[in-house]
Amino acid sequence: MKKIEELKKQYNSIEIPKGYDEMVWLSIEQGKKETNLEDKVESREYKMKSRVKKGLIASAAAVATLTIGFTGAVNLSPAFANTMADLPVLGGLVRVVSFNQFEFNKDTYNADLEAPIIDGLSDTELQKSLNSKYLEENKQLYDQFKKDVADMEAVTEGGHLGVDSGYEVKTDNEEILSIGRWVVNTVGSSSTVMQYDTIDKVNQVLITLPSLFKDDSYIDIVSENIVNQMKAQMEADENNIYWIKGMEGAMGDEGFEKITKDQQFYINQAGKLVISFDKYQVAPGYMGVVEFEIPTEAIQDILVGNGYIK
Amino acid sequence: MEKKDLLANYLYENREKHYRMAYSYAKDENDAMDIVQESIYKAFKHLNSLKKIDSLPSWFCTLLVNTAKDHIKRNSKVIALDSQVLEVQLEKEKENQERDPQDILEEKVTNLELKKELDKLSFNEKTVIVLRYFEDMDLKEVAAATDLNLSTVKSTLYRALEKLRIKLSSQEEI
Repeated sequence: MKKIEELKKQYNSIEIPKGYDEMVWLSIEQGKKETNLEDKVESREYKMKSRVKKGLIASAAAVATLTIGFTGAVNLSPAFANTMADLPVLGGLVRVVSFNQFEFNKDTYNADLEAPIIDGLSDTELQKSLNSKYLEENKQLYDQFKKDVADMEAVTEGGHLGVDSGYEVKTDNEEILSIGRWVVNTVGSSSTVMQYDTIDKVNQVLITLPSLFKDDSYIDIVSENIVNQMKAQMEADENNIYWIKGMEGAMGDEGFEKITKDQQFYINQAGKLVISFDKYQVAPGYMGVVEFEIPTEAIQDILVGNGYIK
Repeated sequence: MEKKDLLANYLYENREKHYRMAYSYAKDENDAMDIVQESIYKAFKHLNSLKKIDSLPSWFCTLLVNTAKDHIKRNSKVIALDSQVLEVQLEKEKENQERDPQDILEEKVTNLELKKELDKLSFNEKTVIVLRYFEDMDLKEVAAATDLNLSTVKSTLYRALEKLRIKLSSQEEI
């Protein structure tokens, strides 16, 4: 029987090819939809639910476009490619479709991960890279979570772990699509991280913070404006607390001084620049994620133009 | 949690195991991926046929084995050609290994040796070996997963061991 042991060892060391995880993930998502399509009643309920929940459109065709975005998976499997070919082609409407990705519920361990899927960009490379980024992020969150649960189960009983991710569409108009993604980690207390992507729908480019301005002077100008807003808010209501560098209440050398070059931001429905900080970053936890709308007058002189910011 | 979410979690968590099972039948990586993928689709499509959630692992195992079987049937010509290619490749890799014994190369050869051994077996023989010894199922579970009765599983297993030239010592049982 020694030989069987030897063969088993070889069996267990069979290499898992690159791209396999993605393929499994996407097939599961596709499979879930198939189940829905089979059962008409359930399908309708499901769509209703997701529309009510997120106020977004979920359609089989849209999900299909997502999958086409991942050429890796398509190339790897002819069967997959054929399934996709049967589906209708969509018009050039840029939008975000809901895409419920993963749930894990066991005793006190809960994960609920959801990523946005952008659909309808004619620049498929841009779309693909954004969608893969979102998918990859959530995949890593899920794997990390599984690992954390295993670690915790090994040492204690009855711990609590949670991870939630999701997204919100901040702006969706003729010109701009701004999406924010959040991740909440719960271990005792919770931390929240926000990330944004803003797309120019017309020119099909990703807008970065530096690209809005003529030069780097925006860092100081925007920061100064934020500090003033922080101070004004604290004066107006003593429950508002921000940590500002050099001010009373700030811990030692800590506290907000300047935004980073690539600070998280989005452009809101009114065309204003909004700067976002994660929980704990510039304020105590109870303030949550904080945002500052920068008045356009304050930055008008250094803006490249008023195409995006109005 | 809904049934389909349970299935989704199960499939993702056991993805590597399913890959190895599929790979035992497949001619190469892509083939193995196709088998897993097709099995996943079928699982969601026929989820109604899963009556008890406890039997999810053996239910999916049966589905995967049957999918592999169909897959082989469809590609039988290609496989015949491919095992020859495999032989040649194995020889080549062995030669290379003598000259340059790298770990990576070794692992590749190991895979090929396993494949070469498994290729000696018929479909059912391969299945019982994989499920019984590699996936550590007991004979009853193997019978359930393969739709064979218990005595057929036993006789198939004995035959497979014989083909692999594995001898059981007097106190060992299958």
